[in-house]
Amino acid sequence: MDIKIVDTTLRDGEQRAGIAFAAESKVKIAKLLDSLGIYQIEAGIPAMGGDEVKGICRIVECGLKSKISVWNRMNVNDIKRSLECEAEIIHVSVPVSDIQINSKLKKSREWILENLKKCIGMIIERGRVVTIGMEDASRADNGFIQQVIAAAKAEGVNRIRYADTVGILRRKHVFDEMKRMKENYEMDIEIHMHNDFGMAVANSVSAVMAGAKFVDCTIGGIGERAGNCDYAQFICAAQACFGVFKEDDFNQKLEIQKEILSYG
Amino acid sequence: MPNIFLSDQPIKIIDRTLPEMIYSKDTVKRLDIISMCWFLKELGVHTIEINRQVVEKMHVLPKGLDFLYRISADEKVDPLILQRVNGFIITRRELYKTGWLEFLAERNPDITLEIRIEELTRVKKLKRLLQKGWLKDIKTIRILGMNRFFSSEWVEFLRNVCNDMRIGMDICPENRFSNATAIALEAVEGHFDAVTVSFSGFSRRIYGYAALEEVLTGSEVLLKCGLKTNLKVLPEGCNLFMKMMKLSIPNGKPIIGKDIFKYESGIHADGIEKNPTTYEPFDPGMVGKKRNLAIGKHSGTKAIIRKLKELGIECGIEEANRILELVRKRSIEKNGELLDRDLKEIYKVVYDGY
Repeated sequence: MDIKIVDTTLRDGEQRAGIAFAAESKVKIAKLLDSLGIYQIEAGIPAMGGDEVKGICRIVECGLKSKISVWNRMNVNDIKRSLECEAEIIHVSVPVSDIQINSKLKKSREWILENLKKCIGMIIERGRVVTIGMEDASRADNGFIQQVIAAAKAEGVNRIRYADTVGILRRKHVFDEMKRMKENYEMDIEIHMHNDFGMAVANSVSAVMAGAKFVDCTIGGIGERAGNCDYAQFICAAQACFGVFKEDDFNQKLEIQKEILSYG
Repeated sequence: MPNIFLSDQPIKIIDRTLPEMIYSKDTVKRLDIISMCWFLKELGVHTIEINRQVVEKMHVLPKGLDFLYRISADEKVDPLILQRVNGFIITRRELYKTGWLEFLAERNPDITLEIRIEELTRVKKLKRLLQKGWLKDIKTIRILGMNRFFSSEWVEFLRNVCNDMRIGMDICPENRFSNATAIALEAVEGHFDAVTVSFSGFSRRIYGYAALEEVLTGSEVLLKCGLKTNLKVLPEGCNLFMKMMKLSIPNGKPIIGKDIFKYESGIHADGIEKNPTTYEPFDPGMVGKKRNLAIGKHSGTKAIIRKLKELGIECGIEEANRILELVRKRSIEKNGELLDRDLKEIYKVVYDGY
């Protein structure tokens, strides 16, 4: 079983109130993440400009083994900034729950679908890989999720991130939902769990059991509110459940993690 | 979101924090232990697990609280304890001591047998005990461990085992692989008789248990199962726990972490301002907390304007943009959020040209 870790310490992790990495720290952390064998490093949000863009560009220049991705709102200006950063993967976050669409954006589901196509088109035209994140998928209507996935797939997207933005899911629901998505769509699934009720790791393991290939983690589980799926806890659980990591590797990974945490 | 309506029979919440606390730090004070008992009851715990060390510290068990006493076969059974506690918990060591268990059962029939089971395939040892007649004086089995119960399939399996054995079942998951709370909530939803937890998942062992506050809040918010709880007392209980154990609770700990309702990122700040449910699974007031807007690297202009307004300063978008640049720079220099005085200083710099 091949589990690909998408590390979002430098993006979602850094969004925890009170954390602010300088560009040099971001580069050092990225190199350490690379030495952990992380598949993909979500390096930041180019739309923030300034020091953030500097840090991301320097990480891209390092030529790491890990793939580098950047995070965007579903916004053409955000995406223009991201394209300038030369990151390999451009992630577009798409609010899919009615709470997010109506209250936060004050838009409609139709607007979401139209903009989704526009944003994907912009990225694919420039020859980059695009992944779509369904923000607040756990509270979204299943029918609309299907429409979003179908629209993304039609535009050439091969990977969808399912986000439990407010951490309310439980294992059985995660398993059933991932299984259903896997069966209905030929797409890679990436899982993004928040830890509001202490279940981010358990839910991520459940998602992998059902066929999710990509798991979002942060070092130390840092992130908004009670944080994200903790990298060390996840690999420990994944090792016990799936036997995917060697014991020697595991101890080395914990040492590297300690070093990364010292930057916080 | 799943919305499960459960039967009228609420699961019993058993808390085992006290013996763990006293084992770890035997300098805890008597009055603090008693305060902890009352906090647990107020929070929504039905039964408090204690042992000889806890009783020695308390001297007298407070009235109005239910206790489950962990008794060892080496102990002389104190008649006062026999009268005062609601039940006993034993392990297999006590089970095999001829005559002792019958003596105990005659005096108090509410006996729980704690058995460690790490994998679902090992549940058959329960059936072996039953077949050999060892369980005739046992009212409830407590399953301890469950560390390798990686999927929720255990619920139906164990429910069937309970029904076949006609015995009560108490679930006490450990948190070695970070799945204890998930298992505990499955137990609540699965109509088991009891779930045993500890405050913040605390244990003298390295792995801990399911966290009481996560299970209670999860039961209320996610399962809506009608447990009688008062989660607003959590901050007070946290302070008591930290004082007794001379430990800090991590700032991001689910439900009780100091900073879990602190938000900074522009997107989140904007969403919360318009409707807090965009980025909050439940209202902070439910657990005795308040949300708190922080200013730092990820802030947006609207947050700057709002924060300055809180400080009694009016500011437009253009000015806020200039302030934001300096806020980000200062936040990176500090590697952290800005205090109110930092923001006021930056405002002065922008407006007074210092």
